Amino acid sequence: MRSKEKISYFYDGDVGSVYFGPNHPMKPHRLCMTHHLVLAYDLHKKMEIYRPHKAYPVELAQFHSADYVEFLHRITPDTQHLFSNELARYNLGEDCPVFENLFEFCQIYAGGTIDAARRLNNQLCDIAINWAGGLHHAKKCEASGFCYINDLVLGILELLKYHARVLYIDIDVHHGDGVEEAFYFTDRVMTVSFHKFGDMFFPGTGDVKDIGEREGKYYAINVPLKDGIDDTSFTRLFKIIISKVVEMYQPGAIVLQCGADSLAGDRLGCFNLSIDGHAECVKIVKKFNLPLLVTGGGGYTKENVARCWTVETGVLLDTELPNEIPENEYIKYFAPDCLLNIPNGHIENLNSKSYLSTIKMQVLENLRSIQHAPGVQMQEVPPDFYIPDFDEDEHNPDERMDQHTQDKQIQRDDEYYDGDNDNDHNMDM
Amino acid sequence: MAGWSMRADGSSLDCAKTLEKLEPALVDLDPFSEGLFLKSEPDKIRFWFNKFLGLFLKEVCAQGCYRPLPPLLADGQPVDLFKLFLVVSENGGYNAVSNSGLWDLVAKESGFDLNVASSLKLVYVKYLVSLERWLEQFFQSEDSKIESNCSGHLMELGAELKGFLLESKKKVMEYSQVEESIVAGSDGGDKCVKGEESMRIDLTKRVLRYEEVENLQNDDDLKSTLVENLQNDDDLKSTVVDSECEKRFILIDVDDMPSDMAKSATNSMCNEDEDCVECKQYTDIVDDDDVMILDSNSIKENFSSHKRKRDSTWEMLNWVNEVAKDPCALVVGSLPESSKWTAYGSEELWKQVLLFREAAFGRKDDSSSAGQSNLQKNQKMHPFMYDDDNGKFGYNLRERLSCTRKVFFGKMTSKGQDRSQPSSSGNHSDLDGSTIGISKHLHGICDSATPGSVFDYDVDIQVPIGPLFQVEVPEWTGVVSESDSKWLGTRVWPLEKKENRTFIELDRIGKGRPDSCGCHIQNSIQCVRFHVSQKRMKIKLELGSAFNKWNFDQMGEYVAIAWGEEEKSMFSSIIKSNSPSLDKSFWDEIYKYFRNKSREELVCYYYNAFLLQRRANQNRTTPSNINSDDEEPEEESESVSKGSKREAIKPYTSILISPKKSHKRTRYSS
Repeated sequence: MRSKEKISYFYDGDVGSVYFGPNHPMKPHRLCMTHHLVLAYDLHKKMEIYRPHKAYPVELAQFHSADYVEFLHRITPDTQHLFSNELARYNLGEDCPVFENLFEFCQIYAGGTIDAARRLNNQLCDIAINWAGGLHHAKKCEASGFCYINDLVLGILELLKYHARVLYIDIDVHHGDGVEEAFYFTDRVMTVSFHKFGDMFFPGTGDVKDIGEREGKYYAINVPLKDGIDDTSFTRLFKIIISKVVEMYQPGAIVLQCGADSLAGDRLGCFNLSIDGHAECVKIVKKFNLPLLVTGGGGYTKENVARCWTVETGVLLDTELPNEIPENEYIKYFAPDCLLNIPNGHIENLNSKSYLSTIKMQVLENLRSIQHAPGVQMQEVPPDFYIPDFDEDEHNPDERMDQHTQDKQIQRDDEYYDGDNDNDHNMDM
Repeated sequence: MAGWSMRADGSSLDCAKTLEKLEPALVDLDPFSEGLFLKSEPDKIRFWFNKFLGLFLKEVCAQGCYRPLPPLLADGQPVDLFKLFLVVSENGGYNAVSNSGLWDLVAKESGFDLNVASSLKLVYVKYLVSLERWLEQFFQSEDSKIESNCSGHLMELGAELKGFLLESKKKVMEYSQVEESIVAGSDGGDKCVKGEESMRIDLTKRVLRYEEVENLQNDDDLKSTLVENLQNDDDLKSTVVDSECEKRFILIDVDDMPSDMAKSATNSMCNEDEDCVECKQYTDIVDDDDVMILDSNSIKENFSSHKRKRDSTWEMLNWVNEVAKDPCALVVGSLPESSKWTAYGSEELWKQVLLFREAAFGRKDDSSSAGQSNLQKNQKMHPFMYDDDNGKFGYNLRERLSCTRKVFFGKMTSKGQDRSQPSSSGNHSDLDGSTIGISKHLHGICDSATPGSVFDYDVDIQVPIGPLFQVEVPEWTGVVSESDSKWLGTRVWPLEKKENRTFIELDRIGKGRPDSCGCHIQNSIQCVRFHVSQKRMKIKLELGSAFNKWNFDQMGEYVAIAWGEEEKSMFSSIIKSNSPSLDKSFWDEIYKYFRNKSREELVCYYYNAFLLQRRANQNRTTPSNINSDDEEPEEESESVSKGSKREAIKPYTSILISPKKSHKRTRYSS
């Protein structure tokens, strides 16, 4: 008997050998380790694994400016000294170095997220996973914080072709500024980011007061947190806010960025989450039974990243994983304990109860404003969210969607044909 | 000079009017010479007192609120503030007088009717209370015995003023001495270091010179005069240098600052940041100097062509000072959201600070400011690791904070610029690396993280808005857009056709590592190796073609099989020989040596064989010492010195460039 949801998992073996440069904390090799661990737990038997296509420059330019994409395509470590002006303009350099196969790397991870969105759109799966994606800092015209191409924005744009509203959730320790910024004016995407804020922590945006503008006002939610937040407070806050958001916003699909730098012991992060706490968020989101696109993100202690994303793959597959890591090529990286769970964090929790409840109240207050000014066609959308039983749900939306699509296409084809005819006719005359 | 002259004119006019009323006999209204025409000592001291008070009120107290001099009572009688001040101080000061209900007595002693006592009280409150308070501060600072040159000045000055208050009613001669001390105060408080005796002599001279120079309106002369004055004492010379620096800082025009001024401000602020205690003292002094602003004019000749707007500087600095003392104090007030900043006028103190910062660091020159922001933008990209002082996790928040502030500052500047000059994005390009000096200054400032420095506020970064930032989201039409199902990925697993599936023993999915195995010695190297390769064989069989598609053939220590022993040992020795102290990237060497291998292969070997092996050794030798982050220092050991593993992160611009060592940290993310 197959699992309830159909899961598509994207992986390309080429990412494992991408190297940002010595001492750079971003190590795509973690993706290799994750995949390996997923296979070591035999999770591949419960899902389909795809190799993503390499996104074409034109696809990347759906969001990014064409000149930026073109430049990324062109630049190599050997030629970069000729382009110092452009490097500065596009914010390439130290944080976002130019390395071998940079563009290919971008194509792969962006392609993965785009493919994942398309598979969801075509109802070929219910949950799509692309651990290589989730590079949420990339901006329209510049790289930022290790992110060159913002695959999340591209994936969301793809989902918007089928869904009136898409919910984006970000549990990376850093604010999901690139995604928020891209959709700051629209009510078709609600962005919710839980992140460390203050002390000039990167990227500095994401105050609770930033709520979007114009049509997008109240459709950007920020949950700024302080150092050392623990599982209990984080997951409680997450559950309250996300449940309310889903209830109010009724998204057609959810994109979840699972940056693993919010785990305890991350090289760059400063939270105290355990893998279980982190995975609990995934569990909460999964329970909404909405089309779900899950991506990776940050995560700079690579064994923990591999552990975390493996556990979360398990969560999405409804499979609880035993704590003892099975033998695999990389078992030594998980030594000496070879266990899944990670040591507890030792950072003092600076989030007081009153602070958290203030934040919570403010977020919920902003959410209430949606009620008074409902966004995009709240009523017209098929209420996927309310359909409780998955098996029943499975076919209905398909048919409805397909019918819509077909109708539209037929109409359009007719018009096109007519037009052609006219032209031909005229020419004949 | 224009600004200065105007100001001097203005203030002396006040005095002139005062004098006109008080000494109707005095007809000569030349504002700069009248001081010299005052023959009698009491008149002279009255003149100075009034002049000083006029400036004091202007600079310190009556921000934006004009107080006419002299004050008139309801019946049109002018009030001699000097006399009033002396009378009240004699009776123990404002509080004492009020508490004891002595205002009638004061009125009488000042030569008024008893019925104007309350009016006098009002006048005193309006004109003199702040001066009295200000003078009290000196007593306090004397009491607290702050140890520094600067406070030494204050103390002496305070002592003088105290003397002034105590002896004010005595002989005329003493009046003049005391008056000199006031003037000395107006001279900037920097010349009081000498012993009292010599000081008085000196001061008399200086007062004269001061007057002369004031008449001449020649600042250059004034300055040289001052320097001359001070040349007989080495200590004093250095004091002047110091105070010059400080005064420049004071004089920085909030709105309109020439760039060399900005530089000197930066310099002095850097000094300030060297030591937070010093900083505080310095701010104290600044207060003082600015009150006594008469003299500081002399220092600014370099920048004299710019208009000054110094009225508010004292308050601003005072505010900064308050912030330094206690960031949470009420007096600091709260900052509104950054989005509303523009709505506030420069009368707000914090706004002035912001403007100052803008003027000082967001240079006028577009290209240089863009260069600076670029430079800082780059700064932000330096990877950082945590100082590992406190063990395993080694989060040094303080350090990170200061560093990240740096980042932000730069980022904010650049963003702000983007927004304000959307068309000037080209500027970014021609600016690289031009303003290293400035950015160093900035770093100096930021790094020291002086509590209460103006940089201590979190900069509220706004989401940038515009077509350069947001994506076009089409309106939802209720109809799904064209479906693009062409690219959905290539299925790798499950395999299209079954391959060799019969061999596979069916494990429960998600099975963990068995507790025990049948090996001779459990968990020995051989045992682990056996199971790993067993697993590998199983996976290989199971995955079939997927095995290679996922590059599993390039995973794990099997990668090493393709490498000869010689190559392996060469690889290790290159890494070892490029030890951190040499500050080189081993990759340079490795690429040079292994020309026949692709970079991919090398990275692959590095991760899969070299590091894994090293980690394995570590696991065996120092299992207790391993934490999740530990592969980093091992891995990046080329730049890692033993003591401070984590902080050694270098800037890198490419894999081939061996970067210089840098201990800057930045935030990272993705």
